[in-house]
Amino acid sequence: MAHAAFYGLGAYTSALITLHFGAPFLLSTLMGMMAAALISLFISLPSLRLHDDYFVIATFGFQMIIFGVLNNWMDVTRGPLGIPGIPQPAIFGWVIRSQIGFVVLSSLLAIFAYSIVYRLSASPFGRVLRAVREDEIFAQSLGKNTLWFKVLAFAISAALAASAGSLYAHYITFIDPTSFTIMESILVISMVIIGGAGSPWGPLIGALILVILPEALRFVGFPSTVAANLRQIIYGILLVLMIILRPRGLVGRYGFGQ
Amino acid sequence: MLSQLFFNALVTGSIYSLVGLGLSLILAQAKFINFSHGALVAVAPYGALFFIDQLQLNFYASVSMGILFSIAVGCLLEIFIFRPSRQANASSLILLIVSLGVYICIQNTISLTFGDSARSIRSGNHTATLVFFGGSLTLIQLATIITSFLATCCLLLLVKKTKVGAGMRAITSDPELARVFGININRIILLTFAIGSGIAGIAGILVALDVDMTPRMGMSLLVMAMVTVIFGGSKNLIGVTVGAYLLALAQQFAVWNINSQWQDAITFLVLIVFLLFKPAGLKGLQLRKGNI
Repeated sequence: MAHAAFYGLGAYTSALITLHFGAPFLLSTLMGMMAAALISLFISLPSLRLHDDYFVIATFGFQMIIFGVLNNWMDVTRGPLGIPGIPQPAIFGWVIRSQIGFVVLSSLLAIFAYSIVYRLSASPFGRVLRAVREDEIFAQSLGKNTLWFKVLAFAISAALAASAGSLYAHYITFIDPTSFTIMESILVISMVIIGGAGSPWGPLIGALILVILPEALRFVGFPSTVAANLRQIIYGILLVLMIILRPRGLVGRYGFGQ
Repeated sequence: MLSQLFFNALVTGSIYSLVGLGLSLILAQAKFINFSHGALVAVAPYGALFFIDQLQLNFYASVSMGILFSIAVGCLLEIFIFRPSRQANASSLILLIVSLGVYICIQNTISLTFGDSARSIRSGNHTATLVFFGGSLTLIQLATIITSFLATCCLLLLVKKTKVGAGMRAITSDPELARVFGININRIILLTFAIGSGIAGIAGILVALDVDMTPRMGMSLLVMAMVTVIFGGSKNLIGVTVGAYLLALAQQFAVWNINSQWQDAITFLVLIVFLLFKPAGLKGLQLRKGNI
């Protein structure tokens, strides 16, 4: 439940580095990813030993802490005022301003992220992670330090979330804490559940559905306040239906312990 | 000043314990963390608002209807969503996520129907304030403390002394064995949901009378209730109550010494530290994974 926190950490770190040090986009993104991975240790090391449900609560708490920091540390993050004027991404001198440019950039980043995940998943590292998922005690009995693997996986996921945050910051050119609340975390979780965990296409399909749906709703013509709530209700209903009827998600391979 | 802090802590702790007790009962018996419990906190005052605004009912009747509405929603959720999932062997993580989805639906339905800004059901004749020992308490706040105390006592009596309570304790310790002994698990869990929803609704009404209500009021209370359940351990009702008041006290001291904006962050820091060093709760359950 802390995914939005890492998303936000990536956005803020990258934005601040670009603004204060004039660093190019790729470098800022990298710094954001490293920052998120490092900070993830603060929550993963203590909490990954806990039982499933309590780990959820611990990450929930961590999310609230990070949100509190982003919202209150006026000196650095300017709190609720946010950080405006983030320069658009400049990659080797080529500044990306148009929509098409951003589509290309985002797709490239997404493909990059996917290839990392895919390579990891096919590697011995990925095999151990799957073993931990199926039966952690058994994996431990084979001599694998499961905590270390889980911490590493957590850090990688935090870094990926941070890279998305960096892209977001440079795309919208303004960030404030309200984009990085628990509702964002829940949205991402919904995408994974609806699309399906344990498969590389799951989150992609989930993201497609949950992003296109509100855009499609816009054509129906509800007033904007109604639309926002209606959208969340649809997310909630989809989440409940999917997890009850098909916990594996549309194309996933893991049913969350069913 | 100190006594005012203490009084504030008493009031807040009472609310936390009301919500936490329900959450803890459901956790102990149905074995999952029920996020929708937070929604039920908001359902009662908004239900009362509906009865006051639309049907012009008098204050006390509306409040009672609000609480009944909360109980009804809680029971419907159990019958139509949580029970079938339980019978399909859903894991506790799945149930948690389901309850999260339910919470989102309910909160946004409330937002849709009543709007996001604060609403009030205060009727103007409860604003008397009592002053003693250097601190002040409004009548509503006093009522909150007394109600919470009564509810805790009744709940403890129910669980420790009645036959139904014995059934609850049996389900908490071993549901399969309880079933073998002929205890009707579904009926007792339904009762638990009803009681839990009821006291959550009461908490919601009390908060609404004190500081007005918003659709999100349930989430913040739920989060604090989760913390108290962890402090107390899910099988220990007294631990939850103690945890609730301790949490409230800690929050008041934090507000006093540190800028109040950091209050939430500090609460969770305390929680995480607590989970690190005392994962078994004050007197409670085993939280670490992989311990056979």
